Amino acid sequence: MKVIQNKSCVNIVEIMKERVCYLDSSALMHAGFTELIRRNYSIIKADGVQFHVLYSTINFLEYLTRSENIVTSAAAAVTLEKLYCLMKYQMVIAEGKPDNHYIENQQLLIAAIRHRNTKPIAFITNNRALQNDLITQNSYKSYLGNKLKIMHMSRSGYVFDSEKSLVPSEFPETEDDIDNKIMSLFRVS
Amino acid sequence: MNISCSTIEQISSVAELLIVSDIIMVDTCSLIHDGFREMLSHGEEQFIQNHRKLFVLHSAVSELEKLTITGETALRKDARCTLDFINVLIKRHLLIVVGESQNALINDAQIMEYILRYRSVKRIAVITQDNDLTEDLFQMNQLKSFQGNELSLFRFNKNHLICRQLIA
Repeated sequence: MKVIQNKSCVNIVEIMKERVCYLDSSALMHAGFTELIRRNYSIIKADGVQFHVLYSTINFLEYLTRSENIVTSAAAAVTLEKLYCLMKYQMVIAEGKPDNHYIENQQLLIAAIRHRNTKPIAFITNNRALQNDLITQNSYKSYLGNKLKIMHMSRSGYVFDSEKSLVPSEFPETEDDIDNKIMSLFRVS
Repeated sequence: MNISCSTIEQISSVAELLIVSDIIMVDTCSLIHDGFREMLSHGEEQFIQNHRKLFVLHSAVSELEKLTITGETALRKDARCTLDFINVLIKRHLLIVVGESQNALINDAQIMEYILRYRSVKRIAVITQDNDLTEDLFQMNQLKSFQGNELSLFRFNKNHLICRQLIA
C-alpha cells in the first residue's frame, strides 16, 4: 500500500501556540470538529492553548436553533452544547460584545483587519467564500500586517492549510498546450 | 486569487458623487490635495441643498496633526492649512469626524474596517489619491462571503477636477 503524504496538512496545536486561532460556525458545526477535539484533547489540555470564537458566531448558532428546519436546529443545539462545555473548561474563549448581532462573516473580516498588525491570526473555516475573502486580505498592498493563516478541516478531524491546497489557476491551459501534451504522450506527429 | 486591476479615470462631478453614495469618505492624501478645496468652493451649495456631509476618520485628522510636526516644511504648512480648513467645514456643518479616537490602526486599515462595517446598509464613496488603497478597495467589491452595496471610488486629477475611478 502506498501512503500519500498531504503537504497541506498542519499540526493544529503548534499553530494554536503561536497564533490566535478563530473558529467560525461552519467549522463548529462540521462533523470533523468533534474528531478534532477527540484527537487533540490531551495535548490541548496539557499545553493550555485555546480556540477563540466571536460572540456573533454564538449568536448566529443561537439563531439557527430557532430554525424551522428540524435538522438544522437540532445540529445547532448540539453544537452549542459542545461549545458551552468547552468554554466552561477554558478550551474556547468567546471574544467581542455579547449582544453583537452583526453578520458573522463581516465580523470575522473586521477582526482580521483590526488585529492583524498586533498579533498573528489563524482561521479555521469550511466556508469556501470566507476562505477566499480572507486569503485575499493577505494580498492587500495598502496595509501590511501579519499574514493570515486560513485552514479548513476534513471529516476525520485533520486540519489543512487552505492557501496551499488551492489549485493555481493563473495559467489556464491553452489548446496549443493540450496539443503538445497529446503529441508528446502518444507520439502523434 | 490576487486580482490585479488597472483603473481608468473618468471626469466626474459633485452631482455624481452625491447621487452614487450615502456616505462620502475622504482619505488623508485627498484632504491635503488642492482639488479638495476647489471641489468645496464650487460644490458647497450642492452639499448644503442635499443636506450632505463629508466623512473624515479620527485617524486622518491625527495623521494630519502628526504631519504638522514631522513633515517637510512645505508639507507642514499644507497640513496646518488643511486642519484649519477642516475646522471651518465642521463649523459650517459640511464635514463630520467619525470613528474611534483611541484606535491606533493606520488610516487605510480603518477606512477598510469602516467600509466593512457599514457597507451592508449604506452606499459608500471614497475619495483617495492612494493607488494601493484603490486597488484594495476594488478587491473589496468582489467579496463573496457577505453581500453589501458596491463601493465607488473617486480621486482628484492633476487639474484638480474630481474623477471617478473605474476598472479598465
